[in-house]
Amino acid sequence: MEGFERLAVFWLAFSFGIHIVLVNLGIGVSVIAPMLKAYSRRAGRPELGEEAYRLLRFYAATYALGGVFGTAFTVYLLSFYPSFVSLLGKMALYNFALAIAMIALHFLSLTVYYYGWGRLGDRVHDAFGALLALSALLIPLGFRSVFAQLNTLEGVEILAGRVVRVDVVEAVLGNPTLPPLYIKSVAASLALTTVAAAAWASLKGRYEIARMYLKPALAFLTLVALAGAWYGWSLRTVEYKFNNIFGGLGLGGEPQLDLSWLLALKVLLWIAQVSAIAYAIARGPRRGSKALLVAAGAALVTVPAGEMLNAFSQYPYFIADRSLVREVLAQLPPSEAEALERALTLLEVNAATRSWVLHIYTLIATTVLLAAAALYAYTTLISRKT
Amino acid sequence: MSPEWILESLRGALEQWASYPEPERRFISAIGIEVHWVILQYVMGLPLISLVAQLLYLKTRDRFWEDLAWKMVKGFVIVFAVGAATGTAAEFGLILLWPNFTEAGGKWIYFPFYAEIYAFIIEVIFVYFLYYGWRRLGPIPRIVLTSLVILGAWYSAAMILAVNSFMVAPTGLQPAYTPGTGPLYGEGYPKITLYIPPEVAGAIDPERAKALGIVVRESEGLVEASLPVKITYRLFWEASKGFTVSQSVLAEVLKPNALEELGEASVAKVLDSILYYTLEVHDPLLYPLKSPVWLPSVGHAIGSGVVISAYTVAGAYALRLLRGSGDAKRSLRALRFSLALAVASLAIQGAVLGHEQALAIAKYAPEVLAAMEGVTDEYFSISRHLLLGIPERLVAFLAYGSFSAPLPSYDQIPVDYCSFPDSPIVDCRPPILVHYLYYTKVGMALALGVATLALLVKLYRWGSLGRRDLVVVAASPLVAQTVSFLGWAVREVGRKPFTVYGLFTPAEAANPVGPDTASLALVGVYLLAILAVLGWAVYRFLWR
Repeated sequence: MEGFERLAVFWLAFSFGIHIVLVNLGIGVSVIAPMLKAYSRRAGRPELGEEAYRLLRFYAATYALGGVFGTAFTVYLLSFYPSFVSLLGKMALYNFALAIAMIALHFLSLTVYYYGWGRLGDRVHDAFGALLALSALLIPLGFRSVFAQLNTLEGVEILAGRVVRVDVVEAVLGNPTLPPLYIKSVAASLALTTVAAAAWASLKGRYEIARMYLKPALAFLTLVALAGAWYGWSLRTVEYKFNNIFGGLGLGGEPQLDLSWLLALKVLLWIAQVSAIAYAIARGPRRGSKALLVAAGAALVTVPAGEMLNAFSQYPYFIADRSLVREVLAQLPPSEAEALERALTLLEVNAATRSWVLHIYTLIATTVLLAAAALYAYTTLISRKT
Repeated sequence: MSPEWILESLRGALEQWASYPEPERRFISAIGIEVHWVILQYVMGLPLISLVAQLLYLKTRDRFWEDLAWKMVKGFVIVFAVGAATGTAAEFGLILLWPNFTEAGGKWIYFPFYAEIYAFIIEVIFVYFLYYGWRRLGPIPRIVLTSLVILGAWYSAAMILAVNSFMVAPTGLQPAYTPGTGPLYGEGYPKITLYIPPEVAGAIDPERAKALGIVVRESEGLVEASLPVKITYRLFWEASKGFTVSQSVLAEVLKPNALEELGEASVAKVLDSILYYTLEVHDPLLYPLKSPVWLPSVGHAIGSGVVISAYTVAGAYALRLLRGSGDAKRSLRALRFSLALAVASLAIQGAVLGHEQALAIAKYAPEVLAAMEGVTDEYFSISRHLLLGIPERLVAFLAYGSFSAPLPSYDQIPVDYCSFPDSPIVDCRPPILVHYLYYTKVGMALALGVATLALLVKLYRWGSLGRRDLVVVAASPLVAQTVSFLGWAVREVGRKPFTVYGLFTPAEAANPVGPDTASLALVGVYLLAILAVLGWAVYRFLWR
């Protein structure tokens, strides 16, 4: 791989890493905040309603930032690998369509729920809260079904190298790697959000609130581990990817790119979170506040680490199922097969992006803007000075 | 000029528009883009109004200006977030409905999309910084942040318009009309200039190429070819169909021995090599920015944003006065300020920015000018048959500096100037529908300008407006948005039958496995319903 390809992959991973952390927090908040608010009213505990609003305010302030890095990822992908994006538009049309429809609904429900806080009647407000949670859970169903299709294609008929038919249900829901991947993703979002919210509350001296999050966090982390194991099992037919993840541990065949160390790191980070939370449950959030900070730090690293493991374990291929790709390529004359094979790997970027000016521009703009984002976060979320 | 003929012309115009490829997908795309545009204009205009109010506050220390500036920021934050959501929908819509266009765009004109990301990040960071930090920051930091927000918004607009301008008039376009020469279709125009890489240039027989209207020149070691759009479009079409060189029009321009060698190569590969080489000669980052209509388009779009925002602010305060809510004195003051801004910005938009845009269209898209002005006797022309041809002469003066200069005639554009056997395009002319859209737009804009100028004079003279006048001002944002909507429609519809002028049409850009018409209609209804509830939410929570 040459310098420009390395840089392209770096920018893709970088933007996706930031996007995925913010998105995971967003999904967690969208599910937890409406539940907390409704429970607060029923249980007569206004402090839970205040906590729900705090979570929501954080989400409202970071929503667009998460979105913009998602857009950056899409644009990088389009610029560096345009032929693959075109193929993806045909193969995963309905998967993306589900995600977009839910993004629109999610944005609507977030706007109404956030700005309608204290202004709408409880029933209407709760209904929008339910929509907020539902759409937050369905957006990743759309996107994860795309990831599942990149493991192994289902419901897509390819003839002479061209997508000729897509079975909507099969393509969106019929992929065997989707259920564990989806459950694991949602559980990870909820685990990250509860762990981070517990750490934040204990840091601010709201120990009772912090305590409330601890047991659910433990439950979500357990679900992550179970779904993670299931996902690993579901990948056994996708040999290339399975071997890269598990081969180094003696499971499966010889890895082409041994990423078992990343899996081990993920497991260690998971253990760190579980231990820290167990400690905070046993000693109370006041005495366990440092442990909770460690757990939150570990959780924030675990999410991108998991994504990198999932993505890079099929590197350099966009579609991990090599036997399926070989079958498709075999139908084509050599020159077309070569072109399609190139479009399905990350090994050759769009020739027009082979420019140092482009990457220097990207580096400077990203650095300056991230510094500004940090200043923004400090001024609005941390600093109390006027 | 019978009513039957007028109706017949309108029906013919609609049928012509629908006869171009993929009408259903074009319609659904139009909804997505127009909805995004409706919102984007506030993103470009509201921060400027806030900045003006902040500068006035800095000068006068009058709290009124600070409050007004804060209201604009609040409004901006919500429309910005709505714009981000509709933009995401539009972006994915583009990838899903027109994946072959996205691939071509990603390959050759990706840079504006790429650069726009940073504009977007600038907006996101500084908008929220301004909003959440407003009460913790002094006037100067706020002014700096607002200026950065404006920078982000305008930079973003400039980048997206670079792509759109390339679609209207790609870099290297040589139009088929000048007032001095008249129409040049007989000489193979319009043409697009591309640079030929040495390995392909050596294979071309210049004499055979000339027979197809291709002019090959060599200067400073570079081989430059001016290709009729009939050829460029054909090459893109052949590439989309998976043709080889021996099946292609390229076979007619290659030297016989080169044809033997290259015959089995794919047209897509040869076309790729020509376009990448052209990019290299121009600089890949600058190539799309060299579209000749880019800068006027940017000015016109930003102007539109300011006009719409100013009218919306004026309309909102008029509504307040009508409802009797809030402090009437302050509302009246805000109304005076925003209405003055609306009238001034509309005048600049029409007389300066719109004029520059029209000049660029007249020079580089004469077919579109002919359609817009209705220079035809085949269809009913508002300009010719209702207004006695006066607008035509006025346009001739504005565009070419002489009242007697001839305008390009719609009736003289050959229907097949871009097509070839088997091509999905039968009629190469832009839809005459744009004439009716354009004249409706101009008529409404003039009426809006005159009415609001009269109301502004009245307001300054008597210090207040009557109920009926306030209703007019309250309705003015809808009129202004309709004018702007029509303007964008003229641009998008006027580019048809092409998606990117001279290169490809919706037939080649479309997704071959896309959804059917009913599903697309359902998606359209779903998006419009979401937008309706969002509109209600913005009004209810932000304004009231």
